[in-house]
Amino acid sequence: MSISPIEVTIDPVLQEVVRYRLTAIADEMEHTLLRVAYSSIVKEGLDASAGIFDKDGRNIAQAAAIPIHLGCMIPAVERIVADFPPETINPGDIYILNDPYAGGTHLPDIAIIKPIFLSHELFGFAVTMSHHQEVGGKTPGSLPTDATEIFQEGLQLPPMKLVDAGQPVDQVFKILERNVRTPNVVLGDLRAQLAACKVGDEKLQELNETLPLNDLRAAIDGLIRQADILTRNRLTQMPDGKYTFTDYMDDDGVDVGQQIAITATVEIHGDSLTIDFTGTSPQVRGPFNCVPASSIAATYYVLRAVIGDDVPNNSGCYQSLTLRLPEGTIVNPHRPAPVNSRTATVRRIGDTLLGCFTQIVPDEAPAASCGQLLVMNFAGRTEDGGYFVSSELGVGGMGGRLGLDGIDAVETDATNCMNVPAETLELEAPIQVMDWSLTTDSAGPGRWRGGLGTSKTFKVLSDDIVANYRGERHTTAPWGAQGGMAAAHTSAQISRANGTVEQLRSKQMLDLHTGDELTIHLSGGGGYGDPLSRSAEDVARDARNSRVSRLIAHDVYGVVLNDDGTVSKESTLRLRSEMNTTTTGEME
Amino acid sequence: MSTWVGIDVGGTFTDVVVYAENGARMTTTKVQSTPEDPSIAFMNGLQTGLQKAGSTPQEVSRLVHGSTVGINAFLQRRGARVGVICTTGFADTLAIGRAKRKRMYDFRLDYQTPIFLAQRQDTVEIATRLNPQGQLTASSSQAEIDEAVDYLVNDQGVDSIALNLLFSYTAPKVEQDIAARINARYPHIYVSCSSVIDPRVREYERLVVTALDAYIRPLVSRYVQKLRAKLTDFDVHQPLYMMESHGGIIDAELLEEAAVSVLMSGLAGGAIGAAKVGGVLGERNLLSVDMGGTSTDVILIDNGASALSDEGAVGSFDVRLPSVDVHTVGAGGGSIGELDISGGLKVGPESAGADPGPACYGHGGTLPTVTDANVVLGYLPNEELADGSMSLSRELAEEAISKKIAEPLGKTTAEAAWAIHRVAVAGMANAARVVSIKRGIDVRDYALFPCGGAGPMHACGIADELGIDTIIIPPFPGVLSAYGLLASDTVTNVWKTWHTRLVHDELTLLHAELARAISEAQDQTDCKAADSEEVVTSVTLSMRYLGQSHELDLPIDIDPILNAEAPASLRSDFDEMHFDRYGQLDDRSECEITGYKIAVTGYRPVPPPSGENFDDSAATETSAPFWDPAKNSYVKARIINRSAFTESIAGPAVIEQADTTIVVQSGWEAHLANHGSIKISKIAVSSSLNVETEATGGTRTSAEDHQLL
Repeated sequence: MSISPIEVTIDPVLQEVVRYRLTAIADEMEHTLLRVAYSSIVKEGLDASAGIFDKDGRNIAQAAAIPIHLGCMIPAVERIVADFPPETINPGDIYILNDPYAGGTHLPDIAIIKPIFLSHELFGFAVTMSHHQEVGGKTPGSLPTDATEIFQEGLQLPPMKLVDAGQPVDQVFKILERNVRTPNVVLGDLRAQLAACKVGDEKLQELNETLPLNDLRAAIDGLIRQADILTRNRLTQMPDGKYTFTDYMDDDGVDVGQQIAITATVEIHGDSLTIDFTGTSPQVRGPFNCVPASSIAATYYVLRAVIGDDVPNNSGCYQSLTLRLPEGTIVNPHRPAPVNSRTATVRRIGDTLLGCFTQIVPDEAPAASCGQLLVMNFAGRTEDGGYFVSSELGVGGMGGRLGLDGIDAVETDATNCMNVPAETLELEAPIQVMDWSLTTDSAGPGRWRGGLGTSKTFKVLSDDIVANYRGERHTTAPWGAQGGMAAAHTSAQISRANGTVEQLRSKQMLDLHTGDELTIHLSGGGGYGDPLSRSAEDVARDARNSRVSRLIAHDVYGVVLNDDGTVSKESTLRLRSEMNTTTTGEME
Repeated sequence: MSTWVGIDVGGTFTDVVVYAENGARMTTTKVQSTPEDPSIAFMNGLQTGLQKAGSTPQEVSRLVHGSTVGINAFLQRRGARVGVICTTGFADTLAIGRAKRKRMYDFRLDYQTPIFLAQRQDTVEIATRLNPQGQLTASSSQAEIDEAVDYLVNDQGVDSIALNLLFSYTAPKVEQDIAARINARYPHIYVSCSSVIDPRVREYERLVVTALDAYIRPLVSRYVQKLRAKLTDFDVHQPLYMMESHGGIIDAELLEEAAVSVLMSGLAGGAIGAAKVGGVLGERNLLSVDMGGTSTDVILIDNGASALSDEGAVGSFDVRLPSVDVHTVGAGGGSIGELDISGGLKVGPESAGADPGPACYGHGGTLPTVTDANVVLGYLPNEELADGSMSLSRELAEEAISKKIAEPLGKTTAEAAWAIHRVAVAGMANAARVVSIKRGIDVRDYALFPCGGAGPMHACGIADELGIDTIIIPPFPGVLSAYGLLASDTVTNVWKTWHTRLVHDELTLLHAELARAISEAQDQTDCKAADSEEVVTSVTLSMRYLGQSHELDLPIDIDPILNAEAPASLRSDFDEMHFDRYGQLDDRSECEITGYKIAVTGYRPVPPPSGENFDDSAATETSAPFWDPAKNSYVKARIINRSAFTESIAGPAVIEQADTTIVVQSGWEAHLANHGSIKISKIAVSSSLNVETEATGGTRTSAEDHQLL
């Protein structure tokens, strides 16, 4: 492409230098946040994020962390900007919020927002968001899959000052301490957030020592404009038109078995796009409602991914987007609808939008991934009468892509957590991990198959442990793309110590006792392209490495394997031509 | 007469430093590397280096080697076939990894774990299982173990076996017994025990480093055997030492037992070189920036030692191996500058490489590189390259920059060249920030230590960007790594998980464990190299508040932990450290010890970092146009040969020497310092982002204010 005349009011050098500096500051905040944190979901799962915003609430830098948080921080800061006019903000103030209906996303995600003054002027905000393991409510861990109103989900914190001109607001700390089951952990994680914001403040002051505020602002404007130009340029290369897709969630955990539709229409028009969720199911009784902050985060993720990751990370990436979230639907519910399990919905919104983009950019968009991040808390009482809450983060497979198989057991879409090592879980909780494997045949077959999902078995070593099982893709499946096939369903069961076996619904609160074993099979990713055109040698290699069974190799891929695992070439050719006379099997 | 030889094998060149006559005279040699068989270049370099120094093979008394054989096997995926034996239920640990992806928005994401280290079909589960307290909850029969091993060795044909049982580190004997049984039956099979290689919690991280040992050990062993045979033929009979990733040296014979420690051998030499040269020059806090053709390595030297980290990436994978803490950025002399559609300027990671190379080489390259920018700016004199082999074309450099950068932006060629230079400098400065962030260090208190061929050309800019006011140019920036090999000590690091609460009984157990581990580590240090002058042992405890996951390392003396007041004093020391580091402490939570780190260092004599005389006959001084960013125009600058540099010179100036070109910007002054080094100091205030005037009016952009472009 040729570079057409550019209106150069930006200084490309200063802009690039400032981009480096701001990203380094956000990374340093994130580093502090993770280092000081207490809860396993933060320290092992890295479910925490940091960013820097300008005084108008525009995001100007993010640490490489969790897309869903990075999207969610934007509405949180916008809320602070709206509620607290600049003249009411003093140096040394720090704000807190988690109210999903006032800038938050779900109650465990607490945002800490520290106004930054440079050269005695309000410059912007250093912001951190952490998933707190416990914020009270009806269930330890604060993720009750059977909640029907937000009051059951924990303590709601509307936007307010946590620190006032350098003085901690003790009342807020006291209320927090009294309303959560693990106050040490919650206050520890909150301290980590405050420490991270302090680092952000210090480093911005340091930057300001060598760079006047006006220059900094000019460079930031340039960076935001750069992100917008690059995004729009990419959009103009996509074919104009309207593209609609619907995907479904199993149910909301309360109205069992009633699928929830998410429908999106993406309209590309020149260098801009509109995304409209008209057609999406009304808000639900269970906790799968997704407030706009979360729906926006899901949308931002998909937009960033289809645009490409070479664009600077800031608010400029979203200026070309018009978003319609119909009120009263699952993507824009009314108070007091419960929201704690909204991550599941965020993932399905991502799948739905990806389904639109498989029509727009079929060579780039992958098949659906496993469609969930299984966030589960095991909770119980400790010997000294307190509570423990230990988190488990389950991850399935990624969808196949043009030219590449999906990756096994990897975080995709708007979430990006780490799993919890078996050894760490066993050190923390009376639980043994008996098995943690990739599940043969869990991926969708395709010319490029999906990545495999995992199976994990937990054996409980103590009585009266509660867990929230919050699965998805039990009744729907991660879809294939461009002729690829869907992946296996997710399923879960409990083998009780007495030998009985209980199949689990996709959402269920569990009571576990000594000797019970909980097994969860997570979906793999969907396949991409016709499985009959997959290289027979690749199918044989998958069979040798337990990724595909001989049965599926034969019945779905049309590959006949000899006893030693090698490909029987002639039989394979014959079988494949029988199975599909219009598609020629490729032998490599 | 004894002669010391350091041989550092790199991708392009093999560098040799020879100290002859008991260390009195130093000579350096560069020969072409031979990647298909690095031992050829090793012997070439040794032979040439000895000849140049006037020494004989029999005189070689110390021979230290920095090698890339391990890392290359990993990066090029041509290691041994590895079998894995693990606890039932954990055969897929390597593929499952930790799930987090490094690039959030990338549909073309690649595998995030090094699955190529061992295939699933070469992985066998056995029943043996330990609980977190180190008790066996299930045991395999000997027959079960034998069957697993027979399958791996006879049916699958593996070369080596990695053992990684759950909680192996709590009872190392369990794995060691299995290893002994394997070796008794198959003496030719290399066995790597996770409880020996990395006795720490988290099964995936432990497996990666253990499997990696199994993956490279057969190759490293063969390579060492070959070198030793060649050395014997050549009449060198002293032990061959190799550099370990953490910067100590080890008798190469010991690599038969465990080889993963030499994975980053090649990188460590530079770090040790910087630390030791700094020590001799009296500079204990340094930021070493080693800039090559395609990338730049940044290393922090803190209080005379290079920092260690086990969170570094090897290639694109995280490997939990204590190594010198290097951060690498994809910006070097050959990095290409390009504009995106919005007018944003990027430098690297695309590189012109050796072929076609920068436009100014005249080998057909048309894309503007950092080197081209430096030629246009007058920072790299254009008659010949540092080694005198190649003339650089200013015209071609100008053409590339003008077409690709200056014209689209409507700027002059010089302004565009400066923009490329500045963005490259900003990228390197950012790498320095990444290194310092992790350690909570303010780099403004450090001296910049530029090395590599291109480092000294960018030093003033990097220092300005970081707010650093002292730059130390080592006497031989081009062969610093090879020098580091000779200056290194013998180090044994033991990092182990060991959960302990701050109560007297548990601390007593910890004390016994520490005493045992220290004595073992001291024996190891003696084995690695026998000629240490002084052996120093240091111990730190990894501590955290109960519930935290990341630890801080508290240095201790071991005997006081037996005292009655030890629980309280450890606690208050930790509180203080946590407060210093994070500005927070937690008086509500208990505090716990999760492990310990022991370092036993056998100090060895450091050769003086000078001795190679600069050839006086080549002393010249000319002047040439030089882009002065402070004046935003070309000025006349002195261009002097290193031999003509006797005392001091104020910028703008260029000092040329055989292995590098030193650019002194205006506002800086270079002085000859001891041992042949050069110190460049800031003499005038010119702020880092080139903002010199007061902001007036409040509406003008930086570009208008300062005419940067």
